[in-house]
Amino acid sequence: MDLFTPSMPDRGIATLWLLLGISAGVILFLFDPAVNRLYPACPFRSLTGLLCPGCGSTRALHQLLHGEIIAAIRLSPMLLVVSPILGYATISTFAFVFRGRPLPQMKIGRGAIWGLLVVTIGFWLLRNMAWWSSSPGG
Amino acid sequence: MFCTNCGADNLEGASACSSCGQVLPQFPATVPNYLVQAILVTFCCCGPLGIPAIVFAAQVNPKLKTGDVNGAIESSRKARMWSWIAFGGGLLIALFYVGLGMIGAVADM
Repeated sequence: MDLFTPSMPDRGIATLWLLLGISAGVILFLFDPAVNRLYPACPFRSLTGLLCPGCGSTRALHQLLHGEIIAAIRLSPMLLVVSPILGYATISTFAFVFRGRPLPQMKIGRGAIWGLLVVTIGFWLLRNMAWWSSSPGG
Repeated sequence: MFCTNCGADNLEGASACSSCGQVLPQFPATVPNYLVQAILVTFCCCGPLGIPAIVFAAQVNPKLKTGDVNGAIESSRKARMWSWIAFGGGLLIALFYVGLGMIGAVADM
């Protein structure tokens, strides 16, 4: 996969993003989205009342920061599929900026992306069915 | 990557073209597929509008492989465009509901 390749790695901006990310992590660690109204609601859910494929991710990340991996996966199963891609993209972006050399690019072929699309839409439909018991709701 | 001089397809990371000897740039000018952005908007804010972004992201690398650089750039542009449309749409809806909440809070006072 080709990540955006910054023409001039800017350490100042990257440091700012890093600090923003760490701050967000601290807030997410301290305040549970399941009981706190501090966090923005999902626009798709607000509009339609249905769950989107990412609904539950904020609560899942809170659980993950507390080491509750099973709880996190129950809240947002798609994290299993998506977090390796987003995680590597984040790491390689910062590695490029601070190390000067890019990490090896992820090779995600067309088949894998179409697979991701099918799994996403399938999960999206399934989790909105009444009988989908592990749907996190809220 | 493709040689900037003769267009021959070289192994990723090669320092010189295997066909004409042209020195290849260390950071190849790649066509970004915006897959990461497409996934982010699909899962973090805007569901349906993110789907076209993923579809276009899927087209970029196969088109590059067949040498269709212009097609790849076009798909890349569309993937970026749909990522922004999805982001903007999600932001508007979120702001709308924040606004509704504030009106509700004021009305309750």
